[in-house]
Amino acid sequence: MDGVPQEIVRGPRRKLAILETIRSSEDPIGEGKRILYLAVQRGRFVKPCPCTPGAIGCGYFIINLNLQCPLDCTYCILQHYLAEPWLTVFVNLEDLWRELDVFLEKHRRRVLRIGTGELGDSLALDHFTGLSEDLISYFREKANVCFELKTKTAAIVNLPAVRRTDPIVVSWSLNARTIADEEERGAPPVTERLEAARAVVKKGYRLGFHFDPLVRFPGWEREYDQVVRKLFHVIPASSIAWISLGALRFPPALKKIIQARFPATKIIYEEFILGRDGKLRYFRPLRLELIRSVAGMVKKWGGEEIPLYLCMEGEEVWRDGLGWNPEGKRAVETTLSPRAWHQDKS
Amino acid sequence: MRSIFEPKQLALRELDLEDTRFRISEFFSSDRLALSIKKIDLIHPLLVTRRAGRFVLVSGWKRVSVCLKLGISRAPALILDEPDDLKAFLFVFYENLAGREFSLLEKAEIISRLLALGMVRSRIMKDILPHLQIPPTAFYLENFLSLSKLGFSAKKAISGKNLPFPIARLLAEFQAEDMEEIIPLLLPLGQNKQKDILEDLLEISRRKTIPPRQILGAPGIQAVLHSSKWPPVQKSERIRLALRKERFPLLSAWEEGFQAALRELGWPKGISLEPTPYFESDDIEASFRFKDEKEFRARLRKLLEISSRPEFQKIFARPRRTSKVRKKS
Repeated sequence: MDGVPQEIVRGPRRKLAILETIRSSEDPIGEGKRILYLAVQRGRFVKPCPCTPGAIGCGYFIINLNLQCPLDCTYCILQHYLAEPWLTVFVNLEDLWRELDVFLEKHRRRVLRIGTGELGDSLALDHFTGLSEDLISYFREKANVCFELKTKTAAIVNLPAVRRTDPIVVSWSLNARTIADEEERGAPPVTERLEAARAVVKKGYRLGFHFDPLVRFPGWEREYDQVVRKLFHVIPASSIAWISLGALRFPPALKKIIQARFPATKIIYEEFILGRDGKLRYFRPLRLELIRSVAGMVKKWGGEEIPLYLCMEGEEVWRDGLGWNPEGKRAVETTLSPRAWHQDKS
Repeated sequence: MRSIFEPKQLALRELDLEDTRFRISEFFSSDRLALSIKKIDLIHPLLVTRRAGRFVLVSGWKRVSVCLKLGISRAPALILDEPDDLKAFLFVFYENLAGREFSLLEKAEIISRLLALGMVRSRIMKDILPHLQIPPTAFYLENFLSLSKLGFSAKKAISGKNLPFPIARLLAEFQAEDMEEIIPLLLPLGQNKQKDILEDLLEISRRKTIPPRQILGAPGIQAVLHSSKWPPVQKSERIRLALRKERFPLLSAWEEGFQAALRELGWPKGISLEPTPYFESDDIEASFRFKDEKEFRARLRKLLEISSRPEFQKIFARPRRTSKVRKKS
């Protein structure tokens, strides 16, 4: 990082002063993306994914190892969700390993899904931090866990080769070309993401794909079909651990942020209603149409066996969108569980 | 900050009233001040400063306006010896801050002037916004700046109807060319409905990439606007509903379908039937009150009778084709 100004932040007052300076800029969120803050995680690293009230969860756990993201997607919830705008990477890894040891032991009877890509992109800063290699080394020998790195980037250079039975999944967030090009600033094109995914399969990994957020725009059906077809053209279906679908949703406060930061976007002007969880969501038949269509494309191009799940949707949308009404998050968890891989290993 | 003042009886004709660099108030009511001046004369001196050999009014626009209307030609004044415009303007700000609340537009003007006079954004946020009871963030700063750029008719509407910040902020997102159509629509309505109209117009305009005046120029809306059948409040309300339908075509179709089914069934007044908000689930809630067993049984009989009719199924029917709804809208 030659030539990059560096500072040791001594005390909360200095931190507050930096925060005030950023907040007084014309675009505090954009400004925060230019600052990398290396910090000590004082709280817990591992937390259950909060999901959303009224939705069927999937029993996922998140590791808060990095906060915020250098990419700048229009719809990103982090613009609203996190109080501090800078990119934070926690450096006290010894504490993380200790906490994970205790956590995994406590849940030894379950097969857990856990990942780092919830409050930031798992790989976007990996060229600075090299954390992916440490995490994979830790998790690959664990019997009761499936670890997921989730990204929109093509930053795979640090990922070591693994055995196919290792419980590691590298996931990509994919979208229709128009959305990727116009609404996911800083992220590589979908084709580049898929090339990175293909390279990762060769390293031995299983893959996940997240079509989240699914966005309605003129031509969405054609473009989602193109990307799903391309996905299965590049990636063998047998390498895919799961695919998730989630229609665009956001808290009302984020809408104002999006309007201010991305005045040219149109994606927030479809028929959004205030959902039971207080988030703006597409009116139910519209999001059902999205989910059903894309789920149909996945089945058409990838086959019926790909595990599909919905993110932050209630019982009725699961039933009408995927034709499946899971009885709670344990049912979803079991469906996505990589027990079969462990059986392969034995 | 220097504070050298020289008291003087100033002939008002010596003031360069074209020079408005320190002015923050455009709209005010002057009746009470006029009465006060008539009864006890002008007590508080004007604050003026010299620029290019002329006197420029720093503080006291309302007083000068009233004096001129009353035919008063001289007024007490303090001459501020301050060549720096920003420092002089801060006199206006702090002098007024001590004595009164600023209106929304005055706050916008203060922020705009400070920026034009060279105060940087970060200092305005830190040192000025908190005094104006404005959250010290870039969002508010930029929004207040956009209020200061509004045209006369929009400012007059904001001032005259005492519109709150959320509505004024929305109004500031429209172009001057749209104001002529929009402002008359807003004025007869309450604030919630004003907000609905502005939000729907903006969002339809952004989704379709057409100017709001083109949306309001649609034949259906023009027919309402130029009709002599309805008073202004009813015209505004009809246009508000038309915009809502265009903004939420499928939701509107579902709501209308549900209401039409109730009407067709002649749904009894004493029994409420409500879908979940925005039809987020398939559940429909029926509820009624009763005083005794007889009334309870009567309600149940009525419900049973209605539910046995074939048209009861229409309660559960929903328009499915979104594209058709879009085309209609």
